[in-house]
Amino acid sequence: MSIRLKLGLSFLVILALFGLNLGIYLWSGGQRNDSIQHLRQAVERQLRVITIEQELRQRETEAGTSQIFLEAGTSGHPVEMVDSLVERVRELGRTIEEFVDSAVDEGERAAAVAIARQYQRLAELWIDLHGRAKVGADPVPPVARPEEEEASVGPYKVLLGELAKLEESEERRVNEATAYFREVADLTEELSSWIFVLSTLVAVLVALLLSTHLTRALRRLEAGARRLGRGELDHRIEVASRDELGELARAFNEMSHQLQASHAKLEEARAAAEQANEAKSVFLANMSHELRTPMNAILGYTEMLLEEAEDSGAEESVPDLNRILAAGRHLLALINDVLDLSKIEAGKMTLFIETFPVREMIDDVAATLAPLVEKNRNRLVIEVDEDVGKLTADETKVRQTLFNLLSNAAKFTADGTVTVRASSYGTGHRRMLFAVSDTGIGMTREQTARIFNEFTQADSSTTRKYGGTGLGLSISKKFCQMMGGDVTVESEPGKGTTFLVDLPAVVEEPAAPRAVAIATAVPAPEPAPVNRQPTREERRRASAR
Amino acid sequence: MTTAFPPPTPKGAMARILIVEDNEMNRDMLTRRLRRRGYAVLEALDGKGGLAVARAESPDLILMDMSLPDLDGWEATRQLKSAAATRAIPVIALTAHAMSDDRPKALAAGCDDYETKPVELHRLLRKMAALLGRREHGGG
Repeated sequence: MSIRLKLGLSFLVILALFGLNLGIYLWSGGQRNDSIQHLRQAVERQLRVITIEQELRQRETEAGTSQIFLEAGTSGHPVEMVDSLVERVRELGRTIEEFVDSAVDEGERAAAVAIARQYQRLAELWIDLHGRAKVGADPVPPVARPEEEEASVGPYKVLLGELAKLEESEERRVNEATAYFREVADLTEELSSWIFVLSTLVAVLVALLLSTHLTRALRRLEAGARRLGRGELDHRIEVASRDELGELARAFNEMSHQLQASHAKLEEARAAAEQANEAKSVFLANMSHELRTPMNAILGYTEMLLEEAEDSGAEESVPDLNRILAAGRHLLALINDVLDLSKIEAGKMTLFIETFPVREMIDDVAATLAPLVEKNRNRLVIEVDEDVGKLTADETKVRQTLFNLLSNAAKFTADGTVTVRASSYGTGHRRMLFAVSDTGIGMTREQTARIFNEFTQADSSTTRKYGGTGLGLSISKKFCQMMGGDVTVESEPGKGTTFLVDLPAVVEEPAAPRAVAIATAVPAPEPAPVNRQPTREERRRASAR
Repeated sequence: MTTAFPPPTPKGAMARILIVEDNEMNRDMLTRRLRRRGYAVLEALDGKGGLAVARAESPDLILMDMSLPDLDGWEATRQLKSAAATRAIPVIALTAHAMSDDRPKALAAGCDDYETKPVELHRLLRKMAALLGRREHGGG
């Protein structure tokens, strides 16, 4: 049942109750009118009976006068007087006849008819009496006629008795009508009160039921919407009614179902895409691995040839062999990057955590990169805080990250300075921060935003000019994220770039300060001294000497 | 510059290096480059052969490829390190790629150090020199 119907029905019930009240009011009005009519009629009848009685008493007095005349034997009434008296006797007769004719019920009629008959006999006697008392008409011997007298007195008394009875009954009628009027008024009042109470109760009940129902249904919908919002797509709302709210709940459930279905489809598609991506990564990993074996041989034999050429003094082939070596190493670097990236993407990259001294690692990386730094006539500055001891992390990955950042810095800077700083910070030196800064070409905000994406360099011309895969930064960032850290960048065009590597660290003990010997650490084919500023420790030691 | 690290030779003799590697070209390159630097090089093609040569010849150091046919490098190293006669011989694992799981596995198997392929000769030489020197000192 719809809410509209429910409300409509409730309204109709209340309306019906009001209608009933109105009906009772109208009925009681009619009843009261009737009873007032009855009352008026009863009073009028009573009045007529009283009038008849009074008239009768007067006729009796007049008859008494005529009787006195007769008994006295004196001259009686004048003719006009007698006519008038007779006429009045008859008049009363007619009045009684009218009363009979207008009788309201059989009881009254019967009583009235009896009175009329009695009066008829009395009227004959009285008319006769008046006639005889006429002046000079008939000298009737003034003999007393006791039988006549009795004959007139008897019916008169009977008649009075009858009239009294009638009057009594009329009065009873008046009382009855009055009582009925009161009864109707009381009943109406009582019924009206009850119906009013009932109407109020019905209205309150309907309001309570409807509001409870509405509230419950809306709460269910609200709770359902919340759960759906939390991702519980299999949640369904109970459809408790067949009204608009039930429809809403049904529509809501349908929506949930559709969402669930499309979610499942998306999930399926995502799984398929993931599978495809993984297959791609596995393929890339395998492919890279397979590429490395021949690369191995190419690089190895080239190096051998180079060594032999240098040994045997065949100097003319040395530059070409060096080019082959450089190109081969570049190719290998590309293959390694692709392998790393595909392993990261396939989720197959693992961490190998060990504890290693930070200073040595940085020196080592710097030494490896020394030729590249030299190439653009850059100066390399290494600043490692004294309290930086060891780092517990995946050394290879940290190394590779610093290598990538430093080689970038060296590549994009000419006649400038490349600085590597290492410091620990936080309570208990729980974090390690490496900063690789250069005074190179720098990047715009747009470029720094893209710089960590795969296969992206600041712009495509960069690749042509400077080379590189564009994978190094992306891989470095992912490595650091794997270790609970991150790589971020700050840069300004023309002013240089600073990369920050933030890693969690376990600083075990402050490493014994030692001098940095970049150039001697690794016997590079052409070892070149790296220009750098002395560290604070070195300055201290130098001044102590 | 080619002989930045003259091979430390215990008791004045040439250090003898055993290369266990199934890839013919890799083996050839490494052998020739080490010999050029004055090492005496022994060769084995697989794990079993490597074990046999190590037991028979007692080399000063072993360069062990990890992915070998038959008996792989990890297992061969474990066997070497569990036998009293060969336990003292330092083993440098040659693993596929720096990012590979081979590395921790190699150290777990008892390898003294590792080097990723393609071998960067100078770094390898440094590691070899360190282990040979340590052995010399340890052995008196």
